[in-house]
Amino acid sequence: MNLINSTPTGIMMIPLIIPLICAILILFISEKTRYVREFFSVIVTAVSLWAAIKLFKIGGDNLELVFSWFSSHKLHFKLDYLSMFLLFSVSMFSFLISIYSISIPNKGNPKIFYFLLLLTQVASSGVVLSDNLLLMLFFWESMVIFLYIFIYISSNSQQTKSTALKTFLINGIADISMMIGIAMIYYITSTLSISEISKTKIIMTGWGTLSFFLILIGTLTKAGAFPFHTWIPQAALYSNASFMAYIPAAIDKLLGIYFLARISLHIFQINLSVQIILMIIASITIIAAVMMALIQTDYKRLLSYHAVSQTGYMILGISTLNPIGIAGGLFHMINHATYKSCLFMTAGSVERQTQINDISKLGGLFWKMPATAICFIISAAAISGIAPLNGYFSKELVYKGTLNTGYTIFFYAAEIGSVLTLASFLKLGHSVFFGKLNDNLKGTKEAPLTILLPMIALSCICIIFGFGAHLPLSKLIQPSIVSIGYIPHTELSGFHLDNLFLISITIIIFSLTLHISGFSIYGKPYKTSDHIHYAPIIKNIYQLAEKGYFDLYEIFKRIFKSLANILFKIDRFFDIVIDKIPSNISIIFSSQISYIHRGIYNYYMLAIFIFVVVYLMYLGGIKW
Amino acid sequence: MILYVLIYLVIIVGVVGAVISKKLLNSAIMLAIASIGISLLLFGYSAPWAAVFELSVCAGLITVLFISAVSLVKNEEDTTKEKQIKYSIFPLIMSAVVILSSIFIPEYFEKLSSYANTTQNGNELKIGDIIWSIRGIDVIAQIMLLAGGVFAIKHIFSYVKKQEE
Amino acid sequence: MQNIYFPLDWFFITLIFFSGAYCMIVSKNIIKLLIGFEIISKASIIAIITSGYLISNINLAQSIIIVMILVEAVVIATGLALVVKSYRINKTIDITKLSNMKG
Repeated sequence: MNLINSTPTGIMMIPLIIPLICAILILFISEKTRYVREFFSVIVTAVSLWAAIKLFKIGGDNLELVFSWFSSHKLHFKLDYLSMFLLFSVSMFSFLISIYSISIPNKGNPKIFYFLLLLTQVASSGVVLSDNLLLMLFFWESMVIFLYIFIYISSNSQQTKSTALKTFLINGIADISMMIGIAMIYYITSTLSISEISKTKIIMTGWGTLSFFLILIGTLTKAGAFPFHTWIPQAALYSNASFMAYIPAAIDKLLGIYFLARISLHIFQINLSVQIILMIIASITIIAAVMMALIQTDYKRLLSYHAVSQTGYMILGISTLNPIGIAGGLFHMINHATYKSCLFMTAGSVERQTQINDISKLGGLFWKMPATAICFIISAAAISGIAPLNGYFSKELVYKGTLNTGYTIFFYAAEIGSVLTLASFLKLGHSVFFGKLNDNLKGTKEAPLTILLPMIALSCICIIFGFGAHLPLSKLIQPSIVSIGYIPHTELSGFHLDNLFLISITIIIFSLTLHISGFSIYGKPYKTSDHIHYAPIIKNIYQLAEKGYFDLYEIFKRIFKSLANILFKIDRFFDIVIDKIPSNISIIFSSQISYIHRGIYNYYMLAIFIFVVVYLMYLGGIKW
Repeated sequence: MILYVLIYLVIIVGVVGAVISKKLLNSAIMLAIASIGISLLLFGYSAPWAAVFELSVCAGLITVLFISAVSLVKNEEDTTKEKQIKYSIFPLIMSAVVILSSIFIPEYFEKLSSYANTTQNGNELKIGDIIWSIRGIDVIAQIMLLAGGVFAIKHIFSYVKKQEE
Repeated sequence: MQNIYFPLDWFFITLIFFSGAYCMIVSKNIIKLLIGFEIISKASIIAIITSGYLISNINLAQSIIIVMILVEAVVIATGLALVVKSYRINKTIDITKLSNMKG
């Protein structure tokens, strides 16, 4: 390995190499120590966060680091503004989650948990930093096995193991299609370097469209969009809160949307029909996921359906293809990571203190756990898009971008999604934190400090990004878009008192109406969405969804059974043709020949000598 | 020429006697007589090295081996009863072969001997040169063969003591 | 002693070869078999020396004969050792009685 550039760019290697070494070292720390592993990993993630911030200060565009590997292939690591922004977010979330999971009880063996956490950080930094498509694919695919082990070690029940298998299969098959797509890109352009391809973008001819859709399958699975999302709610039921706060909320979304931005803006040149397909997928994601979220009664499962739904906003923002929409999509990505992580952390803290997951049994926890409750309120307000918080600004940018394309139906779909999001969070907050306190919950205390600190940090970031929205927009998002190539011509941030603000106020009024009407019909806070649940047509759709008819994984499970039967019958047929018929023929022939072989030595000798004599005479040419 | 025919007659008497005789001891001695005849023949062709080798190995060593093997399977009278008729008709068949081959063989081999091309300096190469340098691989092959034979016989007879108990 | 008539030699070689072949085909005694094998080897030795004389390169023929004699001696020695061992196990030296591997 020879470092071609000098030491300022050597800092780029710190988030990759140091957690890798420390992950291996963690395996060697003995089991008898209590908290050594946790503090070690906290320090390591803090070091990589410092490295990411220092890279920010060095600034400059296009830092580059080249390793030569086997003296003919080169590994390119490249840092433009988009990668720098994402590296900073990945490191920050790793740091916060490693503080958070010090006190979480059911995360499995802590040695393996921290090992996987550091390795996932290495893998996601590698995806973000690499310039070569093959290198990025290596890091991307190595996250699948870590995902599997994370879920597997959470508990010992059979459902956990089958959830882990489902996750692995869905992610693994999507990664295979992504690999095929990247191989097709190599076939089209005969280079694998992203900066090379982005100089002349690939246009949508036959091979180009096919490779775009194959890579799209891989990216959408990672981010969690409509047909491929079904592992997330199941993992929410059977695994632990710190895993949910780390991977499906933060890292997967960041990486998925990062790569979606790369392929739709940087590498390919998308035409109109592909754009409409993307927007349709986004809208279906928003509405279907939020309708499923409305009727759940498990805390983490409700939050995970919302995670799927918010992905739709990000995809919608990026597929609008004008700079305002793209800025909205990227800003929503970082905002969503922030408040979704915070929400999962509150779920984890409530679960740790009360050991109850079902919201019908919780209630009135506001005065017992005040810090948790305040963080919940701030994050819930942010996710719904209430005015001065960060969710409002990113959603406003996405709406503006959608209106600029001219197709207003997607705008209506996004607005309906907003209404139902706020309604479900009102239901959740009301049943968990407000209302009457149950008798068996009287002894709950506030969560310990290591759980509260990351929550409070993330809520503060929500508020800061909301009130001072020009800070992230001008420093993080705008340079990223410029480096991809779309230059905005209006001011992105700032509080505009226009129609969109009035529409957001009406959204708040609609959802309050839904909530209060449900509460007055049923009387209990966790049943406030039942009037939608049991409405005439929608009830049947909900029944089908509960049975798993819309789940691709379950559909494939049914198909494979009959497919296996057919293949078995074909295999029996080939068995007869290849095995039975030739062996029967050879048995018939050999039973004839075995009459000639009697096993008596003298006959053999006679035959040999006769043959030798005849052959010699033939060679010499004797005449009879 | 007459001498050669006489030597050939000695060899043929020895070989026919080896085939016909009933006892194994007699056939081993007849074989020895045939080997002596061949050795004389080799001397006649002015190939002294091969003649001495033949005399010492075939007429000596192999005859001793056969006699010792026959003595180890001593009670073979009651095990193998061969039909003596098979050996009695042997001279009959032999004479038939003699008559037939005297018709066909001479002209065949005359044609064959006209194909031979004589090498120019064949008589100037010494036998030491041929054995050690031109066909040097033969020496290695002989050594390996001897080693293989010795190891095989050693392992065949390695459990003598146990079996006699 | 020159003037050797080549086909005369080969006439006798044919007779000796035939005797050895007959002995190998007919006999049931393994040691008789080995005697027949020995006879055939003798015939081939004479064949080589006459061919060497024809090409007038007798020294090459001599070196080949030396190798052949050694091979023959080793083969006979190992064969007789195997016969003696087999006699100890099966108590017979009849070749038609060795049939415990027959399929």
